[in-house]
Amino acid sequence: MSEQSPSLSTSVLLLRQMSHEMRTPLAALINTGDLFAGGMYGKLTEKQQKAADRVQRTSHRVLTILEDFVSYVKAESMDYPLIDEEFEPRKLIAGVISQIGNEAKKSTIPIQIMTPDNLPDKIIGDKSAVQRILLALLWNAIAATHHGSITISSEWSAEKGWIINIQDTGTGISKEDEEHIFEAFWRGKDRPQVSTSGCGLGLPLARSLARVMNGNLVLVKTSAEGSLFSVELFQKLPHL
Amino acid sequence: MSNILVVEDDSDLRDTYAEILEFEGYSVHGVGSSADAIDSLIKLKPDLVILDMQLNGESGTVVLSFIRKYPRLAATKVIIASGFVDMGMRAREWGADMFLAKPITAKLLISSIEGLLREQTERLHNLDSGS
Repeated sequence: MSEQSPSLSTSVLLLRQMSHEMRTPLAALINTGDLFAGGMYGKLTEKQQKAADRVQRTSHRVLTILEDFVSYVKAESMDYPLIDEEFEPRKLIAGVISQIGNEAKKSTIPIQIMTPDNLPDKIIGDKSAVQRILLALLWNAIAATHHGSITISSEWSAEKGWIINIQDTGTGISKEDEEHIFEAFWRGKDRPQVSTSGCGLGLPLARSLARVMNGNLVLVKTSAEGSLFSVELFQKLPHL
Repeated sequence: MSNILVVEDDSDLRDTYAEILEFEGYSVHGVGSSADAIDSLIKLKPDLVILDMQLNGESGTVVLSFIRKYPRLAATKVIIASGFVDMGMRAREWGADMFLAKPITAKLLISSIEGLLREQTERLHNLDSGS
């Protein structure tokens, strides 16, 4: 029974070990925070409840940062294990928007969905990775958009698979920032951070995951009227 | 009341699991090393084991091998709870019934345990009735 794969590089193995070492105390912190906030240790005053909610929220954020970082390094090293499964693309988009709605309570920007008739009901791919890509792109769009709307439109072709375009009506990205938006931990000075992790890994992780799937993520255009990102995901049809 | 053994070398996390499970009405015993785990398995014959794989002393795989070879523990369910997320793909072939990646929320932990114990009860019932 071997617990480690010999094919992994030393740095990825070190990262894997560090992730394990952090997850264990983090598990105790998250569980205890959840129990406090859930009232298992008794009824809390309003002030105590706010503090417990803060501990709960922050500990979950630390986990998100850790998971994003580990996934980013693995994807960059092409050591990210893809798990293919059948899923419904329309449902996936709706699920991601619902998740965003629960977390981005302060955002009132409407999100529109446009799917073509030829988008298959079911496709095969790494559903979890696609969800993470879409989440990162939507958080990025929400961060930049104060008025107007965000539109998620899809394209499907047998050759290219599923292409998702995210158009926002936000403030756009400056020339200076444009060169760096896919760099890990880059925080543009004009780009407010609203993401759940907020540490500058959303877009770099999304691009790396798309590339692991033999796809890509690009910024198609940006101006003071908004930005358009496009991600190609080489998903397959179930019968292929 | 089902009897759960928690094998986890981090005492804070071990205590947290125990609090969650005792609150749900389970009888819980916690240990931090593989040697203590094997002692407790023989003495307590738990219905379910929550097993970390990186322990003080020998690794969790030694504990898991012991459970699967010791006839009195044939019905014991095992959940591997580890921070090594990729381990999930191999947990079944090692003989575990389930893999959960740390951190595990209280809700997921409880529903997972309930599902496995229900499966265990049904299996024992079927064996008793000869079906």
